[in-house]
Amino acid sequence: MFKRKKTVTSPDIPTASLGDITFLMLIFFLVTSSFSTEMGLQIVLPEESKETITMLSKNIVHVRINKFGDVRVEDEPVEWIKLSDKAIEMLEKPNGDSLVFSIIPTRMAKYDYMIRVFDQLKIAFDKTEMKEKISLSPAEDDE
Amino acid sequence: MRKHYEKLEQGSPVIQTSTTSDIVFLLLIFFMVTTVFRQEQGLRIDMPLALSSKKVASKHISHVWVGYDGDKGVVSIDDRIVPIGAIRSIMEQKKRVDPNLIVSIMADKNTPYSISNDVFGQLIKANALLISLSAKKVNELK
Repeated sequence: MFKRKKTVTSPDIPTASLGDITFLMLIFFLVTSSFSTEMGLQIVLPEESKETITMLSKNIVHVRINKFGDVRVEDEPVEWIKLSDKAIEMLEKPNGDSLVFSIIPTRMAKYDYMIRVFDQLKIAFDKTEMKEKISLSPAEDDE
Repeated sequence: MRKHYEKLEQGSPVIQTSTTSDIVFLLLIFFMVTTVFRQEQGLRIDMPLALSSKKVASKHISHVWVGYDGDKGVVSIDDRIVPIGAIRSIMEQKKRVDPNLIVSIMADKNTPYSISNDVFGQLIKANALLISLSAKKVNELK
């Protein structure tokens, strides 16, 4: 009927190191957390204006991309990964600094292909330290 | 009566402070578990990769998510799906609020170019000309 009295032992958890653990966790999260940063390729779109800018057609380099991702620079097929070298070569020719690259993808070309080409051209301009002159042209119909 | 009052004045009150760190620790855990950062959901997209991707000042940024459903484009701005034709008025409004607006285009890499072309067209009409084509920074392309 009577419950037997249990022997009471006081459970002791050492808490002295708790502060250290908290501190380490704080450091860990400080180091590992990264605030989301925006990464992207900046471009300024042309203004919508009635007047058109006339340019010497020899200064415009047409870079066409079809739906299979094939790149042609002035109707000459170029592997996209080698496009930056090709562009640097063109920019370093005499009068190369007046060149404007015009990217013309077809309607069904993937966005990724356009970014690849854009990226390659950006690299070329970065390497030659010239002012970027890349334009995005309206899509062309697929052949 | 007076004697009793004096006694109260003299007694130095001791507050137990050894448990404060426990309390702080528990609070930390509580907030770590419960906080949810407000995030724009946007669309599920597979971002393109680029070598020359650079940091964009995030102060003036407004996102336009571009995805696709078959041949049709799906555009989301501020977590609302909007028709492509409505981008112009939305961006005109945003441009009025912040003249230094930078539009960040978050497009899926498999989107047909015609869709992004239409989006660019709308942005030109809205006079929102500063654009950032969002791409994941990589150091090597395969």
